[in-house]
Amino acid sequence: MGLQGIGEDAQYDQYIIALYFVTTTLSTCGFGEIAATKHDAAEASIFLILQFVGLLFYSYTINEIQMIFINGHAFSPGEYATAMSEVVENLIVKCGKQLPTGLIQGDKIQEWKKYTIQYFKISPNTFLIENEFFQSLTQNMKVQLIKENLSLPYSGSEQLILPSFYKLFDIIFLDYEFGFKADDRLVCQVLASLSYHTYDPNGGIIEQKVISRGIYFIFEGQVEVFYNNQD
Amino acid sequence: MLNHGSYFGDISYIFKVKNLYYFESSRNKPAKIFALVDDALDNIFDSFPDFQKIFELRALRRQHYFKKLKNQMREFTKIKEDQ
Repeated sequence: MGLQGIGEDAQYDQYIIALYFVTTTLSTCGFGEIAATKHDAAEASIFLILQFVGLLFYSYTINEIQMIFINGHAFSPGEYATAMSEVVENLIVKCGKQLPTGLIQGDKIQEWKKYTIQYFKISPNTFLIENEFFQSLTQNMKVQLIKENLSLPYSGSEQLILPSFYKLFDIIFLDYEFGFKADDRLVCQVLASLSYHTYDPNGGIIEQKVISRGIYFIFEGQVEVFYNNQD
Repeated sequence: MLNHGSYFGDISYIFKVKNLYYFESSRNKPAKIFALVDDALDNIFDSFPDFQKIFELRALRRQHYFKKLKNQMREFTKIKEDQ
């Protein structure tokens, strides 16, 4: 290395300087007083790798520190509403062209933006499950919104319905017997594809002797199963 | 009676067989249900073939379990009738 003034016999000094060099490189400080020997391609290559490792290490550490702050602090309904409305606004900027034509006409988006915070403050569940805007988004946009929805810790009194669904039906996302664990992409895709229904007492869900239209997950209440052997 | 946290309709939908039973909300309380209906599940299966395999295996296992349960119930009723 291009550092002058350390004798070959000063072993401990060499170790300390080497450690100092690695730390300054990994932390992306790089003061510049220690550098690869001029025209030594092998040494330069090693430093190049070290610099890349430093970049990865740095970005990973920053992300982890950020997550400690996010996880340590659950969002109040107001903060949650603001965070989600920012997510939605970013989504509109990024995917504006994919929005259904009915929504980009006139002042609908402006009107929707105006009410987003209110919706989320009152009930994030109502927004995600029943809101006309959310229901008319494309599948990809729904997936992105739900991803954000799952990642934000919420301290409001209302139980967030989609994260609750994820916990209640972990059986479909996890299978120890087959060694299966759904990744984030699959979880969000499933959650974005769900439709929500409320059945009155004694309301029929699936008829006998017909092919089922899909899979039904009981979130609340009970379902009775009957067998009719007539005809 | 199926409680919250259970799911149904998978065997009929996946294997395209007619339902043996009919399902309705209990008489006391409305049921809140999430569903993956029409092409929602097919689209998921197209994107995640591993998930499809797991779901099919689970449906097979559940079908086997329900058949066993049905046979046991039949035998139980027979024994009761004989008595």
